[in-house]
Amino acid sequence: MTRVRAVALSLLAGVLTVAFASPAFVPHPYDEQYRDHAGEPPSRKFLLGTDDLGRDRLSRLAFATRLSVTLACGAAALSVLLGLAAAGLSLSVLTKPVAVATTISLSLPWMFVFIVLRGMLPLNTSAAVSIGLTFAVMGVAGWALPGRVFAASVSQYRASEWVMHARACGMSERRIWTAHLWPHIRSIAWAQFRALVPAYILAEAGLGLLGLGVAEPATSLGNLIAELQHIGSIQTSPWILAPLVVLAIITTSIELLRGPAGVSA
Amino acid sequence: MMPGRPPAHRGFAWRLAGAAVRLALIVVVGVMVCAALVRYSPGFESEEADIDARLTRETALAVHERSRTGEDFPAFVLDYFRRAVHGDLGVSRTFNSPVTDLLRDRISATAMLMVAGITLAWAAALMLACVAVFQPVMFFRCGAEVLAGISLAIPAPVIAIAFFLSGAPVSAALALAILPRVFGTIRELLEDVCRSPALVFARARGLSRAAVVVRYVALPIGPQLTALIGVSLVLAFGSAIPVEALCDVAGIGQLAWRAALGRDLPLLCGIAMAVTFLVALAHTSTELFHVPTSQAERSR
Repeated sequence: MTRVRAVALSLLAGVLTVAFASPAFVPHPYDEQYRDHAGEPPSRKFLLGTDDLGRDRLSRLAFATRLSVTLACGAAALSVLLGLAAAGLSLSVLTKPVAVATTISLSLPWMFVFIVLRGMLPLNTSAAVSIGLTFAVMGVAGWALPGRVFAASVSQYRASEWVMHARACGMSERRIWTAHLWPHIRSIAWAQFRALVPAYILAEAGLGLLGLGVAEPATSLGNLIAELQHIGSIQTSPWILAPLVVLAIITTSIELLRGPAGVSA
Repeated sequence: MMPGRPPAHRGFAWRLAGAAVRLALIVVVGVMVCAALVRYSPGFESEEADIDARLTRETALAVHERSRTGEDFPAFVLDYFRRAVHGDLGVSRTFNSPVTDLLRDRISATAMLMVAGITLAWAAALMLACVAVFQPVMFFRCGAEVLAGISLAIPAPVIAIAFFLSGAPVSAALALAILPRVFGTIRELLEDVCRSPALVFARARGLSRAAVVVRYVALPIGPQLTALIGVSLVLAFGSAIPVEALCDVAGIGQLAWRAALGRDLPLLCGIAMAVTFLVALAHTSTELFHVPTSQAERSR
């Protein structure tokens, strides 16, 4: 492991450990309002200060980090699974329909699809439902790119000399899949998963900034970053940048851990 | 087909016709998918009036009655395409204005933003990728990587807000959103081509630097770069939505945001049609360009 990757891994592990272990040491619930302390700067009682409703910023940041990272992982896993299913379907008689569906999905920009689907949720959606649906929408809408990668890889591997050799030796299709193809596809699936996690964290941040993120009183990194729209307040309250710093650490670390070969269009 | 015409021309004409049909199909299916997603979403029939305590039940029902567009989905789709053939994309219920007019008024702002953003991103990505691949000094290589990495880590809307409030051009924020992906792909392509035996052989033959760059670097990666333009277009539009919405740019992205918030089915279908057409056109053009290049490579 290079030094840069070691630093990235340490930073990521540090941030995630603090976020996930925070319920043990953060003294305030993320949704409790301390009206007498609204908009306070960092203090011994509130380490990152409080927001306009008097809620502890540190608790909210820890909760938002846990929520965004966990659900982005869930959404990425969903996209990868759907992509694998699409690749599987493309091997059957449904090759053409799957190819057309992939092309159409890739022709609609992600953000447009996310905004359309997220904007169409009922207005009185509860926080829990909005959290689940926001990330489920991402997971479902993001199937096309991994699907195309898997389909191309599977067809390439199936036509390879070593698979033909295995077939010529009388190996069953099932055995070829489990022994030869799956180990290759698994590594591609892992790479796709790692590429999608930061993409979904950033997409959720974009939705949060547009007011289409997670519903209150729950919060996500996107909702917290939305405060930066009042950019003038950064000079007087620079601690509101904390969510952006956490987001940058998480996404940069994941990208660095993926390595240069992982960056693709 | 005229007798005596070279087979290559006949092939291109067929490919062009096929591409046109495919393009039309993608647009039709894209609009239908978008309309179906909107129509059958759980919140399609909910209105702000439902949760507005100031309104009576009768008023809320009247609001519902006024916005019954698309209730009979098959009829809506058929009627939509029948009118779309004549250039009528319906009336937006959010803006109370014809969708065609709204798109026409706003497309230039988005086009200018996207062209400026994509141009800036490509210029920066090409420069940074050349530095990262060809510059042996570690400082420059790492600098290029870090610069691209930063723009990947910070959400485009945040950069856009910062640029907007500091008076910098918003297109630069869009460029920063596209830059990391374009940079990563160009750098990978350059690294691959630099490792190719053909390039090493060309250098050993003593070809001039310009000849090596043109014949063994630019030409082999040309098709992939043209394909990357299509990807840049999708990325640019995706990033343009939050950028336009937050920086108050009156373009298609802002329109899409307001249409989604207003559950405006005709407007969303119109935007889906325009966006799908543009993106599919870019992809189809690059595919058309890609095949002759590959054939030329094979015939060399």
